[in-house]
Amino acid sequence: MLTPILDGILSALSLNAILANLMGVVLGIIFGALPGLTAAMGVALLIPLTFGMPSVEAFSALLGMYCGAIYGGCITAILVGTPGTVSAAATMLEGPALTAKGESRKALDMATVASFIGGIFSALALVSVAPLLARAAMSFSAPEYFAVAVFGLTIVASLSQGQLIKGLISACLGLFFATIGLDPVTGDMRNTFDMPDLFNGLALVPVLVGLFAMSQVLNTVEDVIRGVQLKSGAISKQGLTLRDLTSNAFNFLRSSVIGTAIGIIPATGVSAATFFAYSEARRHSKTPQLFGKGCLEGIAATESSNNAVCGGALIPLLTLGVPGDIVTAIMLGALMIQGLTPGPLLFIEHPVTVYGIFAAFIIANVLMLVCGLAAVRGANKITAIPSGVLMPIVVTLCVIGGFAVNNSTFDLLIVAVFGVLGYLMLKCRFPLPPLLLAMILEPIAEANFRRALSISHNDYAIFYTSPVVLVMLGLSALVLIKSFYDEYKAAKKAEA
Amino acid sequence: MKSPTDVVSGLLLLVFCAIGFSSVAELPAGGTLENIGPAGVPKAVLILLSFLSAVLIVKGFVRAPARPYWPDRRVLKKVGAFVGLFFLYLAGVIGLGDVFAHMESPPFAWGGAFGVSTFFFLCLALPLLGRRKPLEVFLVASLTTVCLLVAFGWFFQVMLP
Repeated sequence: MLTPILDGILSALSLNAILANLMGVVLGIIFGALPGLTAAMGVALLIPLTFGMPSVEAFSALLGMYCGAIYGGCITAILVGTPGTVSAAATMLEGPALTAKGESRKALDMATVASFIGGIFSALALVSVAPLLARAAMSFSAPEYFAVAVFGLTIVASLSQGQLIKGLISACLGLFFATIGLDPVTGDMRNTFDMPDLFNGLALVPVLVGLFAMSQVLNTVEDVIRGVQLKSGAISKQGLTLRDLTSNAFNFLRSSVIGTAIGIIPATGVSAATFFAYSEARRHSKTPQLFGKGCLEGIAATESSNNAVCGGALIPLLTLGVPGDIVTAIMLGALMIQGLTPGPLLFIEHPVTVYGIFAAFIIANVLMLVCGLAAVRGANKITAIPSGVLMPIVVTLCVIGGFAVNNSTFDLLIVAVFGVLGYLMLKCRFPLPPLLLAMILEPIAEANFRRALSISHNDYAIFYTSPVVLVMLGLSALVLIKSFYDEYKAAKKAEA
Repeated sequence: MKSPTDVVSGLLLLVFCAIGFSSVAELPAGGTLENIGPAGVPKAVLILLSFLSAVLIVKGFVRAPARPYWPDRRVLKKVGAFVGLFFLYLAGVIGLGDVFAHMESPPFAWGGAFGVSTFFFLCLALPLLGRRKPLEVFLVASLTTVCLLVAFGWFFQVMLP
């Protein structure tokens, strides 16, 4: 029992893994800090480069990028008043006001420490909850896996807030694209239009790079052409005091619990965690009147909760194969590219990798603290890199990333097609994450659905005799009904 | 018609569904052990997609978007030019790669097509995005190309296109 744990920890502590982790964290902070570059884009671009690495090293880099980017978003939120990532949107409620008061350094230090505490708390939850959940899921067979995949697909509802019809269309497109290639049960060729390059289906990495990197580049190019320029605030001298930390001890804990819990539940999202933690911090504060005017407690709450989401979102990913948010959906693809199938069997078949991933996540948070505190002094320089220079360089990275996994020029065309498709979808307000999520979960859902029917000799009762399946499908239906109801209410409100 | 973009997207999606149905029609309907054959899931998805597209078209006739979908024409033209440049870049990478691959003694041992295409792409893309100083453009293009070749081709040992 202890040997795989120790082996996993040792592999995450190897020089190569730590260097990969460090590279991921540094790049992540840059990607998070620069508006136009996102955590999803960073992880999507990094996957092809980690393809040839051993799995623990690969995940060290990816988790470093994930943690770094979620943290990095606060730099722009505090100094510029524009969130670098969606996860830092709530930090803007206090960050710019603190910069205006000449306390930008204090705010950045608090954000760094809070992100570290949130990350480490969620890592502890990951280490303690994931193996238990995996053990409970060990008895799952085809119908349960089908139900889990369907439940995962209901994340579509949260990923398409306010645009449910378009989100569902996006998911349907993803489901259809996933059917291209060999049929998982009979081996028939489907929807390949006799193109040999499509016989193995659409490669995931070029699709990821096209959808989440190339389309985002084109979107940012619009801002560059419009001449949108960011003005960064100065870094003040006054840093964080021990009293600032001790007075926020309970705030850190509460926000970390909120972030981790919300991260575990698919179909919620990091924004929900940060705004919830922020409102709870204000509700429990001795000085709620200071909130909104530059209050460190607010920064402590939002930043510890958004990094706590990272570890929480990894729990359903590793134990059930259901991603908690869009970055973990991309990581689900990374696991598959590494030849690992997420789910309870991962803990039995690849325990060293699993414990290596746990250790790499903890190390990523420690490196994020070190790099974050070191980067605070020069944080305003990161935001000064002009997007007009950066975007063409990101395009070249998309080309490398799209080609690297299969060394196929056809994949470059996929990057281009999905890049343009992604941009057009963004313009027409079709959310992109549901397309990717559906593409990843369709093979799991379809194969297990048909396998379950084969086992039961086409008796559909197999889907309502197992309590787990019933609960999962019931929850999925409830999430969808609630989403439709919310959409209907929002539309009525807008009309009024 | 209150939202032409939604109506046109809905119509395009219906065309996509028609193509999808024609492709799925050739697949066997059921397998030996199951009622749902290879065509089952794609057909179900296409039926749902057709229904949702129809809903989108109807919504497009009834409800106007809260804010405009598209940027102004000047911005759109430049984005289009950038996309065109990107496709030219890919054509360069793939085409030059073919040319170099068929040469008996290519001018570069590795990464030649990528290096040359990247340099020219950056030289054209940077001015398009407002970087007008020739020295800056040249330095960024050449340094980026060299850094990418060294970092990915040599350090990460990634096969370059």
